[in-house]
Amino acid sequence: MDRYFKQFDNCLQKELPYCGSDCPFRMNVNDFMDKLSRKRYNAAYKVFRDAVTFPGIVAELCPEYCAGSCPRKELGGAVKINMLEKSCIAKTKRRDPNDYNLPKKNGNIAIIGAGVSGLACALRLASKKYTVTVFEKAAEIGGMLHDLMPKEQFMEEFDLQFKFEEYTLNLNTEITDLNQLAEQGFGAVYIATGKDGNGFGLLEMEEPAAEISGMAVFAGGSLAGKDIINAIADGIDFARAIEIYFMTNKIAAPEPRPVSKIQTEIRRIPAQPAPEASEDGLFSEEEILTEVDRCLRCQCDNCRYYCDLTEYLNKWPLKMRDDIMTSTMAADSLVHKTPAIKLINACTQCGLCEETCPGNIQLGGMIKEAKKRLHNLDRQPGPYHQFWVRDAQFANGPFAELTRKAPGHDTCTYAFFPGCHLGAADPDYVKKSYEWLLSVHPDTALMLQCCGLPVDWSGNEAAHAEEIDIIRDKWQQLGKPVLIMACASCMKHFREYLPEIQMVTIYELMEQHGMQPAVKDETVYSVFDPCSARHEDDMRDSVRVLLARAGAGLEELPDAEKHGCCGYGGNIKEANPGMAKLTAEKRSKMSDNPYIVYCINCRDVFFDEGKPVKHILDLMLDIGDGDEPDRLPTVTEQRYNRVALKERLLADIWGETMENKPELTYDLVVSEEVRDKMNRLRILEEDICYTLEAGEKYGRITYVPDTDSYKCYREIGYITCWVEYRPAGEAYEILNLYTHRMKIELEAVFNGRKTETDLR
Amino acid sequence: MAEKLKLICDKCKVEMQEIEANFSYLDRTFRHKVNRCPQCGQICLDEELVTGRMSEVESKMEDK
Repeated sequence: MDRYFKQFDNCLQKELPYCGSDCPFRMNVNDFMDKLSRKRYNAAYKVFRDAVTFPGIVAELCPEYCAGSCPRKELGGAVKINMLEKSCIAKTKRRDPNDYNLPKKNGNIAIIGAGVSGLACALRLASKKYTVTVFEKAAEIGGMLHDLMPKEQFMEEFDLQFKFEEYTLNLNTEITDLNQLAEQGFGAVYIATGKDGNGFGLLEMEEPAAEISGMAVFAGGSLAGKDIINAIADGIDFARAIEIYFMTNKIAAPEPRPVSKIQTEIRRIPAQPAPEASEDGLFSEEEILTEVDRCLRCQCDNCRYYCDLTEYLNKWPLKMRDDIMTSTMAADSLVHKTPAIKLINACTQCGLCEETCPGNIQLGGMIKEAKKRLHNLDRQPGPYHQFWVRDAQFANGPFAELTRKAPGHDTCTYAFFPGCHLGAADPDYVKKSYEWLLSVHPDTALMLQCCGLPVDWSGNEAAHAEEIDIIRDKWQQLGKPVLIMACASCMKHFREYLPEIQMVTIYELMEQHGMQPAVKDETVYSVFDPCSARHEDDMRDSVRVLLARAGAGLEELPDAEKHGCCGYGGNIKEANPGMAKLTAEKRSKMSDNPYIVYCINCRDVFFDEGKPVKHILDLMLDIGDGDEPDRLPTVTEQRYNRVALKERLLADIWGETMENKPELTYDLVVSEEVRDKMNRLRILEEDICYTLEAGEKYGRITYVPDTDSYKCYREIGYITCWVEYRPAGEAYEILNLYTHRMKIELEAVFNGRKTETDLR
Repeated sequence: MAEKLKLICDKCKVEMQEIEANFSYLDRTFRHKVNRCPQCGQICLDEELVTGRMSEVESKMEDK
């Protein structure tokens, strides 16, 4: 966890935009723009003033250092920040500075030179309530400003900004010896005597900061060769250096202002010129808004752009990191908050975050680690992953699992690992694939089971390690064959946890063996590559070749390599149905073309979204004999499909009869409506029977006279299932069902009677 | 609308009443009045409660 936490040092979210980085004052331009965009001129003015000290002077004289780096430069011209500043000042009604009621601070400072740099330093220190005395050899203040702008204008600005601050001004006083100041009891001195002024030897030193006669002495501004704007910035910086001196006794020139490390992606922005200023050379309100709108608010936002989770939660990863850390604090910590449980269980683990983050922050990795911690701390809500973990157990159980060498072969070069969901969707996908594989590589073994990914997604590390060990053992017993994969998710999972296994996809083999698709199809498709195949170039290419062989057209999706998950990943549907829906919708809308997929989970997601979609194997093997399914198999039917697949494979390939088949305790009469609801709640017919059994076993049945029906319930793992039913002869007619996550805590003794409390 | 008939506990054959019951989720416990058999303590939750208030509380507990 600490490793992931540390990665966030690279986060560029709070970096200044390019313009801010080039600004001598490092002004927060995005903040300034945001305030202007809401017509909050007073607030925008404050941002400007806080950065530059004398907005009236800086707006007049600034040569716009920022314009050089503005990405808008080539797209209609750099944003006219200077004009916005001037227009903002004109529109600001309350320009008075803040009058802070602070206690006086110890610290007596002399400033030599009442030019704009010295005065900027004086204002900053005076506003912090230090005692400030300014010495000016001339008869008036302003220094080189006299050559650059009308005197009334800058004097007005000085009067305004110093309105609430006190400082002593000694005109016609030339300081020739710093000892003069030491004798007067000054603790620090800022020398800002202007161009060609007296530097008292400081500029020849290693840095313009030294201890002289017991005082901390600094020098900067035009004296150090700076232009007028940088001289003001120097005044502000040295004020800070003087403050640091008083607080820590450390004498050092200010650190150079940081250069922003910002990186942004400029994404399809139309060129647009700046508006002409129409109000006495300034922008009107409307023009301000147009210009502010032209500003791209440069900020590293790859995570917000690419990651669906940041969009869904409307949160930046830095905030997510803090919530995750809080939620996964050790059990003995004093923090007992878990604000990120849903967040952690809403990540699809598509891995796009780390691939698009310039700082290589592995947010997805952090979330995965957090899930494991939640599980170990017993904070992971049990219902979130229960269905899929049980489903994986079924796929690996006696009714569905099948590991066999090819008939008549004692060794194998290849073993087909179709994944558990392909056969659940339709047994033909696996059966026909395996039959074809046997025709080209007759010694191909079969490993029919779940790869363990749902257990990994649940955060249960120990159970997952067991699953992986079992798979490794089986693979070793088969003689370490090359696995032929049909599912990119299984493949990515094995690459991570079983790197010793060599893999190839069935699509590559189909391509290499020149297999011709069973169905010709001239439709123009877009291939939707599953996020888990992002780096499986061979697999991606083969699917496209196969599609072309079918005679179909191909229009690639925009940003084909930079899209997230279809919404299936992470099994987030239970924890965060909204997030699953958002991703499914977004991915469905990437193109109007029907999709070709090669992950059966993507197929199911898009099918549910109403997006026309086909699996590439539909074309290759003519699944369903050309008929499009009108609905997907329910969760119960998926299990039956797995059993049917095993049974048919045993019978047709190995000539064996499957004896051991699952049977329901009761005959159920289920309407279409109830069937759909069961599917939605991921409740199996088996679960319904299990619940009905409890009714009988514990006598916990309620009669509902309104509908002449009965209700009973039972805990199925972490959820409680309620069933409303009516006996129909030997069978049970199921009328309704619903589930909750809370546990009913029955009393051990109720009304003086001992009761059965464990209803599992 | 006609008033709903009282639920009957099938075990004790008596009408159910609104009686408090305990619930727990994620290490927290709550009490709420629900239909219960006054004799054996048998509980019956209706769908409205389960999908409404109960689901809301569950969701809140998860991110607390």
